[in-house]
Amino acid sequence: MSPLRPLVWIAVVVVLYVLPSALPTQYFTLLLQTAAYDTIVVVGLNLLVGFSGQISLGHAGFFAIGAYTTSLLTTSYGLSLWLTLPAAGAFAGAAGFLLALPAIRTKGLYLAMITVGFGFVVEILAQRWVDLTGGTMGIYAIPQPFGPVGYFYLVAGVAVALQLAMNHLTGSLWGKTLLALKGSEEAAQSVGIRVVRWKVAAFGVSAVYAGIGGAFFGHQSGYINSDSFTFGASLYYLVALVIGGVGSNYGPVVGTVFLAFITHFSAGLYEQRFFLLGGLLLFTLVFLPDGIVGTLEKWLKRRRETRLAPPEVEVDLARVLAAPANGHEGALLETVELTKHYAGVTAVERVALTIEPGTIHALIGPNGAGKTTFINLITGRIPADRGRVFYRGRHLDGLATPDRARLGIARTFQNLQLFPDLTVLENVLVGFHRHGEATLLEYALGLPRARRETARHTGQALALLSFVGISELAGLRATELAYGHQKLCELARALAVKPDIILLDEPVAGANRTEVDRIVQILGRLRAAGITILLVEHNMDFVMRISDRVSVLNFGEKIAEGTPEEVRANPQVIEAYLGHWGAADARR
Amino acid sequence: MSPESLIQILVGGVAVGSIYALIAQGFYITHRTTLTLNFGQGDFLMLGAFLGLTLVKAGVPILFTALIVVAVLAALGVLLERVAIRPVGHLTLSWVLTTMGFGVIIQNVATAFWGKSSQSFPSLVGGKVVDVIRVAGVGIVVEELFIIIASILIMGGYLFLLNRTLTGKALAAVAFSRDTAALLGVDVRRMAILVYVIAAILAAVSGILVGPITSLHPFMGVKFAIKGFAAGIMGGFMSPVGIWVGGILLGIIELFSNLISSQFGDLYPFLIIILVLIFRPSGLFRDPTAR
Repeated sequence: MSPLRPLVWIAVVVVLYVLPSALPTQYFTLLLQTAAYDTIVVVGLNLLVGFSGQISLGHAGFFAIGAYTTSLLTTSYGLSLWLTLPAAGAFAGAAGFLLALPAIRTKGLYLAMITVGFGFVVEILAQRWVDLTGGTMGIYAIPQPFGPVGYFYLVAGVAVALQLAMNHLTGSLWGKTLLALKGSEEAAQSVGIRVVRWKVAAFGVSAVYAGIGGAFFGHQSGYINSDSFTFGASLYYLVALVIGGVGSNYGPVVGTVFLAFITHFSAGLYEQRFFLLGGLLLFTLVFLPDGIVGTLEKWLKRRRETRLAPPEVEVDLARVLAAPANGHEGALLETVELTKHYAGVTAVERVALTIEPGTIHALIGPNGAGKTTFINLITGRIPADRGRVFYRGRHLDGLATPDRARLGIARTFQNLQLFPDLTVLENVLVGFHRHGEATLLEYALGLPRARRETARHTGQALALLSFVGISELAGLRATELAYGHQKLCELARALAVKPDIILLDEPVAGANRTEVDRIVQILGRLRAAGITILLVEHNMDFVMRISDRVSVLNFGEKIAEGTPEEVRANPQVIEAYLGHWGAADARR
Repeated sequence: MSPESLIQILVGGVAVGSIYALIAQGFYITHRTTLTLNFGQGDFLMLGAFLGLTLVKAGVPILFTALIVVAVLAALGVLLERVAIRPVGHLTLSWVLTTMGFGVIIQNVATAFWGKSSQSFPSLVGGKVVDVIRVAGVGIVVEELFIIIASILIMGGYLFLLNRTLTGKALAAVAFSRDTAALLGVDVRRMAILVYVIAAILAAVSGILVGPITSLHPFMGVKFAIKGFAAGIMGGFMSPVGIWVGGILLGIIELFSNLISSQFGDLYPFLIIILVLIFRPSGLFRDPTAR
């Protein structure tokens, strides 16, 4: 943290304090109030759109739930604002949670449409459920505490607090985790991230923010009716976010304030608020896709990037990789009759494989032999048609990829799946996912345990990067690395899981001789540290050099297994690779 | 409920459902070819309806009105593809927002020209919108019958274009694989423009058709868009005919739900839309494992 940080925040407080008196009329105080509670909504929306990569076109619905909650509780039950504000957030959050729980499994466009539908449901309820909401007549005499300026201070104070909490969240491992699953769900699952839960959580938190913003709207003018919660309002928040900068911390506040003032100065009437929106949206997305803040940040970062010094870390592999105690004796991983067919094509056919702990086991075979499918069956990425995978003597039926990763099964991908929004270091940090203990609240508040955990994992991540030999690249974006370095980065990320077994899908494909030597050395040290390795590879030199045991797949079936020497001499293997005029008959 | 009113509601549902189906065809053909669609499709429909209204009121014969509106919206479809689709591509969801922004601009322009209050469209077939004819003793609203017949004709032309012409085959090729189609000499960019033009024309025609049986206002579009999308989903988004069935089904559901509850009648279609989107995103009639 920069030493200037506290000064900046003091300046923010001072500016917010003098703002109402610096602007000419009370009208501007109202405008400031509006900008402040809209900022809260957009900050929440940013978590959803910018970090978890989802989209909501129904945030006005959560805003409405917050507004009606506080309005009804204060007018009908006479509850205090201090109770109804959190209640508004909680109700909206609960609604977000309930909507997201089933909806999150649908992707992109579908989720967008579901949120549109949700927005309409809330709007129609607000309009027609007159007994509860007063419909278009609305609810009157909602308390308006503290006078206009005082109320602005309250809203702005809460907005600042919620912004700070969001900064902690997005800056922490929590935010990196969301960015990770936005970048590649498959890779996120492979390090144990339960993607659905995280997306639902992001949706829920986002809805809480919208609900609190809505609550402040309710108390602003003392009157609400169903006209304020339209699809146009949902769109307004998205436009503010896009203009400010999706995914940047201060994009929401900049976008919201900009939009609030520009719409009011251009028209002056509340009804005209949505004018210009379309043009601004289109213009920004086409010509300034990172928004105002995002563009500035990019520009600043480019100037700062050279600063990173290569860390020198002494690597104690055993300490970094110390995984939970392994009580099981015997084979680490065993498959029985494992079978997978794709629309008539046999990908894996009744494969029985036993992998002994502490060995390097290679899986080879011609293209299309089912090797990658086999790995995907072990990690649970695809379900098996028949057969089972046993891990430490327990079957893995019904366990999804993240659950299997949490048991200590890590992997790399044939077609690289790094998290593009994260740096090299952060990619590895996210790999420690299953070892995190601090809660969401601790991360939001920046409590010691969350900070200690982050520091500890950062140190270990640097150690892993240094172990694979790319620690000097830690600060670069993962996608900026050369191909070979990206592979090493993926390996380091998989190691961060502290796995018992690591599945490597073509670790040396595309690597030159020096790089192959380095990987041989790395894998040797991993084996020495007690990590079991299953690798799929076409480079026979490499396989023969390093493997303890080799299994050969052909057309989905295991045709041979043994030491490298035995396999090399096996006539069936030679036939599979070199072909034979009778090969087709032999297969039948 | 008498059998006669049951039939009347069914006809009304088929009529409004045919409109949803036409909107959904626009979604389907653009999404299939470009992996994007126009979130402002409903606003295109709204503009079509308002333009049609103005021309009809000015005394332009209905057929000419339709031709002019189709031409204007087709041009707008080209513009949309150029400014809201091509610059952002299909890889992120930016196109959702750009097309919506384009739609909002249309809303703003419509507000400036036609004001915010609701307006009504005269009958397309002459006489009053509520006129009925007797078919086998049952009174059928002529306007609704006209919508159904017109939509059948449009669907016929649309299906002919997709299935029986070289252009239709080129579109299918692009949908199957852009790269391969490009290698075979299909101009993928022109196809992208073409599908947006087709979608815009469908919106234009449905706007004019739906005019007499709804009330026009600049913000009417979104509801039509989401119902069109739902129609597409219910039909599985795979075949134009399935989408047609999905739209008609949704139209019938909607009219019956209004019958059940005048207070919350509008609500049920949206609840159904959400449920279908969540639990049957691959369509009502398809294998749910296809998701």
